[in-house]
Amino acid sequence: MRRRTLGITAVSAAALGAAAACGDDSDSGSDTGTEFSGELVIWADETRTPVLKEFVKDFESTVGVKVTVEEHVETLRQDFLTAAEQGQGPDIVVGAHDWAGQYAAAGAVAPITLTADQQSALNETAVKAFTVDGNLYGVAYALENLGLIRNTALAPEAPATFEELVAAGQAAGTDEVLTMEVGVDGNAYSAYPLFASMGGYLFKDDGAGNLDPSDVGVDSPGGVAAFEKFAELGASGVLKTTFDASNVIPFFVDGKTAFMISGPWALTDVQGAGLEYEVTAIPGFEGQGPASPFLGVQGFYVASGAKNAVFAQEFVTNYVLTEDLQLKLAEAGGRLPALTAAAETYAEGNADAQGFAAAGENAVPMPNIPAMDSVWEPFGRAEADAIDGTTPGADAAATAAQTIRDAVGA
Amino acid sequence: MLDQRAQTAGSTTAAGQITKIAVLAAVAALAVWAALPLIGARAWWGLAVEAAVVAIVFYTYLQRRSIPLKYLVPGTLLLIAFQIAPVVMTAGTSFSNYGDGHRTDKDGAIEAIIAAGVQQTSGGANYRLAVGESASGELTLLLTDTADGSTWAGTEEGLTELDGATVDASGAITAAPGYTVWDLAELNERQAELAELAVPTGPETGIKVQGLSAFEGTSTRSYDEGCDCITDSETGTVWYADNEEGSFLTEDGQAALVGWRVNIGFDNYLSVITDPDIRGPFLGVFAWNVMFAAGSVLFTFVIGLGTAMALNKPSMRGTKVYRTLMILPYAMPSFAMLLVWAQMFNRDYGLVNELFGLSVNWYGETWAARAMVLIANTWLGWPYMFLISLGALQALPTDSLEAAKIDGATGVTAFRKITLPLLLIALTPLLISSFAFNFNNFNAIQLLSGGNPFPAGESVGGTDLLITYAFRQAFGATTADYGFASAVSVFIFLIVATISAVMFRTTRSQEDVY
Repeated sequence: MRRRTLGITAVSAAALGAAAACGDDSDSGSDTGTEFSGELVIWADETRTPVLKEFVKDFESTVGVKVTVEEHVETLRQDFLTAAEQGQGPDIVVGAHDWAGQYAAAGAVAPITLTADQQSALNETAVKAFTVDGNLYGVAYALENLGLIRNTALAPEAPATFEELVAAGQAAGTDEVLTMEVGVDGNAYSAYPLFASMGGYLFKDDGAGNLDPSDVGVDSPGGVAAFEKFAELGASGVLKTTFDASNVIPFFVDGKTAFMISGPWALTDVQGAGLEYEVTAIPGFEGQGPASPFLGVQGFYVASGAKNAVFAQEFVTNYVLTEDLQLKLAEAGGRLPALTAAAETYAEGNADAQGFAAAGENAVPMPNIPAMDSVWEPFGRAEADAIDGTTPGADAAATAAQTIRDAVGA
Repeated sequence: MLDQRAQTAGSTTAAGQITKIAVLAAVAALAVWAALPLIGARAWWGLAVEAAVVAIVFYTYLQRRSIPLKYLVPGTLLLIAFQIAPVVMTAGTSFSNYGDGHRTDKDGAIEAIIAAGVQQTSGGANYRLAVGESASGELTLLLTDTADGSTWAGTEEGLTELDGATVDASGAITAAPGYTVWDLAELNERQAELAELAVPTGPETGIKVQGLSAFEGTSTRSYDEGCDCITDSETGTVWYADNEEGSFLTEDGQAALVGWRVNIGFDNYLSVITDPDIRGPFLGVFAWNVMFAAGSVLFTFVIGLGTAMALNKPSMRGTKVYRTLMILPYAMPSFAMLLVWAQMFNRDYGLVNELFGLSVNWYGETWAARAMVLIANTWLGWPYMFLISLGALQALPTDSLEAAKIDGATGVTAFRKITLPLLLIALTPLLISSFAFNFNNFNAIQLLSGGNPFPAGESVGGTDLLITYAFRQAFGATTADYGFASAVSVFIFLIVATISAVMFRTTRSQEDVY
């Protein structure tokens, strides 16, 4: 009778093994005078750890549970999976939304149920981004997307179309028309806005945010047109495979280009150089659709093996969704909060945030389905080949699409 | 005589004895420290292994009969721990489907799939949660409806309205007649009991606790041991367990999100052999792999030996300064250095092209890319060769060289006939290990060229080594298939082991000649 009723048992059964140990602890007298009765462990990366450490103090004092934030540099995504398998993972892990598919398929994170009110308070796309197979696996706190950063001294007007951007970039008389990460292997993330503007899509969206991995649109008419654009822009020297992570920002900071397509992470350097700049939406091609970038969402996952499931869930479902926390995290990370109310407060009087929010207006969440893993490499290579001129645009698109289809098994 | 020997062996100095006692005490302390979590986790096998290791260590250093054992044991134990164990584990993994989607065990998969079927009942209430015990000690959920503030008591029998409860600002019940309400500390300590409690509100609905909140939820999925299947009552989907594949599959073969880890026999090996993506380019990659390893060893050795000989000349001045400078590439972290080199080979903005007025597309042309990785790898590797050559040169017996000189041998002949053969006896094993290292020099390729250039649509690049190629095949961008990757690693291990064995055999016959 006990086990019959609900998935409660299913959800909480994971906590059972750990729970036994907890019980032992309390019996053997863990009351060594500390005011905390338990511990909640959070893993985060190097940029979020300091902010979280500061912010969990409130939670500690309200509920009387010690919260430990552990920093995991670089390998957080993998560390969590490995540790969770060994039953040594944290209660909560902070990460990007596109980890959700992998984590859920590993059974490493538990579904989260938000009330209707909580859901509607969040950015709609941010909720969608953490949804896998109809279940929510993470609670979002920050959004990021690419935008167009413009040196206002070199190009006073924000371009309305990509053609205007190229013209203004050439008129500025700088070495480069624009910088955007491409690299020898291409970069599907930064190429996506231009690809989308020409009407390309990666996987067919059924309208409700569910992607169909068997319908690959890299070589759809829009996709082919996009790769032909890449080839054209490569031939005219606007895009180069020699633009990579090492020079995109430095060239902009040194005034070698008037335009840069990049994200909020670039602003620290830009501000440090004392440049006059403005962030606006990436313009689409003339007569084509908007250049919608990928939306990346950061959020909190609850481990399915959380030793302190009750307080982990409490932290993620109630505490994370406070405006105060989201604002603080936003200020520390320079990203827009996922909570709509907090986002409005944050963007008020913050031109950069407004610029990136405007650029993200048409953003689509970066697909979190496992099939996406098969897209990055072939797409990037095809982009690089088209830009380098080694393969004509249409062929590059066709090759990439075929490789993706083979990998997905569609 | 025997007595005397035993005494010599045993009559170590007082300092030696103290050190021995201290080290053994440290081992014992370490053993206890490591044993506690093992006992806690009931890992009896682990404990047995640990006990055996400790027993061996103690026996070795407390007995007096076998002195060589004292030298052999630590090395052997470390060899087992760091060399043999990983190989065995890799081989073990290669027979499983371990990877993304197959990380947990079957129970874990069932749990996760069922948990994903819990949905909030539409229009169902949300509650603020407190937990307490009734007078009879029965665990009870004390719930406050967030919509209307009504209070409820939930037990295994179901929900009953609760009167006269006191609530705090957040809405949580702090006191209720007939109940002892847990404070948060108690809740934290006893959440295991809470996890066991299921409160039904209907045939398929119940109260689901989430943090300090709760809601009315419906569980749509259930596992039936009889058919070994999971049924979703809402959508009608039935997933049957495929215990060979480690997945729950619908009738038309759609897998549920979570699978589990199973032994799949030789499937991974078969797919390595039969996968046209792997089999096709294998020979080409292998040939370049040998070329890269041999080239790296040759260039580093030639340059290293040349500089060592120059600095070994007694007439050379300022050798200390040169030596320090030459070790620099070796002393700097190769990770950072490789990334710097990668920048220097940028076609448009790189130092190499600018300095020499070239416009070589280092990443785009196969032979240019191959030259690039060899140049950078030689720069990184020659200080090592310089160091060992210098050491070997200084250890050479001078008499044979002098004899050669007296016999009228010129510098070149003396080098060819005397110095080099003598050097090679000492250095060949190191050259072979350097070859084996470079054969699997993942960093040099991954960080420098990333396998580039890639012909359109090909998955294998011009500078790919077996290891970088296998890495990408197995892990893709982010998806992990450890079972498959392990199978590829076992293949590479066999190749390298064979090559090394053959080389060592040749060396041995060489030693006989000289």
